[in-house]
Amino acid sequence: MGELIGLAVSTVGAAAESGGGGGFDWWLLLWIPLGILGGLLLIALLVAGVILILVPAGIVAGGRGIFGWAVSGRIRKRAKRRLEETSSQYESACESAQKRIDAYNLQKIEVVTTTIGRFADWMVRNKLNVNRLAHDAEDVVLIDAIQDLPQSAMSSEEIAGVVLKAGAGVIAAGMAAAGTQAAAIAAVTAFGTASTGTAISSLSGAAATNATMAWFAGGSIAAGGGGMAAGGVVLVVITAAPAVAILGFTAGILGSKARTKSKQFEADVEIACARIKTLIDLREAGMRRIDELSTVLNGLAKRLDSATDRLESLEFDADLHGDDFRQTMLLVRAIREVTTLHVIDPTTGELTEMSAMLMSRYR
Amino acid sequence: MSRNSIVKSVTAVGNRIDPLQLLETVIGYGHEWMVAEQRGRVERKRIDSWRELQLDRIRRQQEMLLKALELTFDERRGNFGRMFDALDAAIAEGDISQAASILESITDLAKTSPFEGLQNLELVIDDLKQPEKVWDV
Repeated sequence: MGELIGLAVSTVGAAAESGGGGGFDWWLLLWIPLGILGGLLLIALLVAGVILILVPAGIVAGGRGIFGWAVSGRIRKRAKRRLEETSSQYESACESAQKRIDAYNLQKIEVVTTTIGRFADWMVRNKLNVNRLAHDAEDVVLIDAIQDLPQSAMSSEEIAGVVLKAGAGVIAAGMAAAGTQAAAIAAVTAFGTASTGTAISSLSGAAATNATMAWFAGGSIAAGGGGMAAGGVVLVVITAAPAVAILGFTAGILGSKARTKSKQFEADVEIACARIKTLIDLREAGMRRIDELSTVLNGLAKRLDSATDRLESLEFDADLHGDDFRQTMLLVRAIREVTTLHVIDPTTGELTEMSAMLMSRYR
Repeated sequence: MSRNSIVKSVTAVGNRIDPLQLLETVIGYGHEWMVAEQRGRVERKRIDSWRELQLDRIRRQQEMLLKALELTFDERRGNFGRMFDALDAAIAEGDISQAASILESITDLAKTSPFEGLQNLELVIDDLKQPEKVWDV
């Protein structure tokens, strides 16, 4: 600003000198106070613009940013709670499914050792060679393999980007504030007058500093102004205003971004929860497969018991009772086939036939 | 640090910064905030729509699978019941070959996966959504 005014003065001086050897156009000197006045007016307008328009806007932005952060925090907290609840439901569904599978395994072992065992004992009693097949009890463990749920929708790069931008904003605000203050001080020093009526530019050291500070408050207290302290406050306002505005806008940007990211996180969590609930329902439905096998095994075991009852009631003669024996053996083989069906996939921990479907659709 | 030296250092920094540039910087940040706000609103609406779409898809898929599973298990239960009745009749009649055949059917049905049909069912539904799919009838 000082340079601009200096340029105006030198231009006017040059014009005056070149105005012809005849006379000096003194009226041109009027441009000097006008230039000074214009410069001061421009500074005042800039300061007023920053303080009256941009600062409130920055405060509003900052407020919205803080509100955005608060909302974002609430959304995340709510989403995390929901995820925990659903995971806990999944765990209890797994637990009850495991209990059902354990009960079916016990039933299989019981049928093989008791029902088939009883028939085997009958065979031994009737002097038949028996090769008791060891029951291969399944080591059934229901392995939980819930899809990895997003713990955070924010990637580290994004966080780094946001933080860097915020840092740059703060630095720029500091530099800008220093610039405003320096420009204001420079203008006052160049064109202001101290309360004593002396030009500030002609003063030096502490006297110049004090006079400059007092100028911002309309002069010294003795001269009816606010004095040095009030001037300092005005200077601080000029300094802080752009910083407040920029910080507010930066907070607004960050708050808006945080809110969007939380929204994405919440959506991801809701979808993950819906998938987990589908898994729970499907697993419950899948337990019907265990019930079905259990019913079939039970039906076959009952008939084997009846067939063994009949054999035990006979004075067994291979020629006479061959069909009874064959019939019983058919039931034993059918039971063996059913008990050796693996219902749990050891790699996925899911019901064998469901694994592929669940793996492809819900994981 | 005396007030004088503070003023001097601030002035030194200030001499390197144009007040107009400062104003431009503040306005630039304001503009960036407005753009971020607008972009955020659009993005949040997009996330809402996307979420609803995904949830709806999962719900429909779940309903379809659970219904299909129910029907499949009901049908299989009926089949097992009929086969056991037939087995009892064959045993009562002493028809060993018939009993053997029925027992084989029972174990075969027990071995078949009730979930296989569901995968096929999903494939059919997926095919129905393909407009370019040609159906041989």
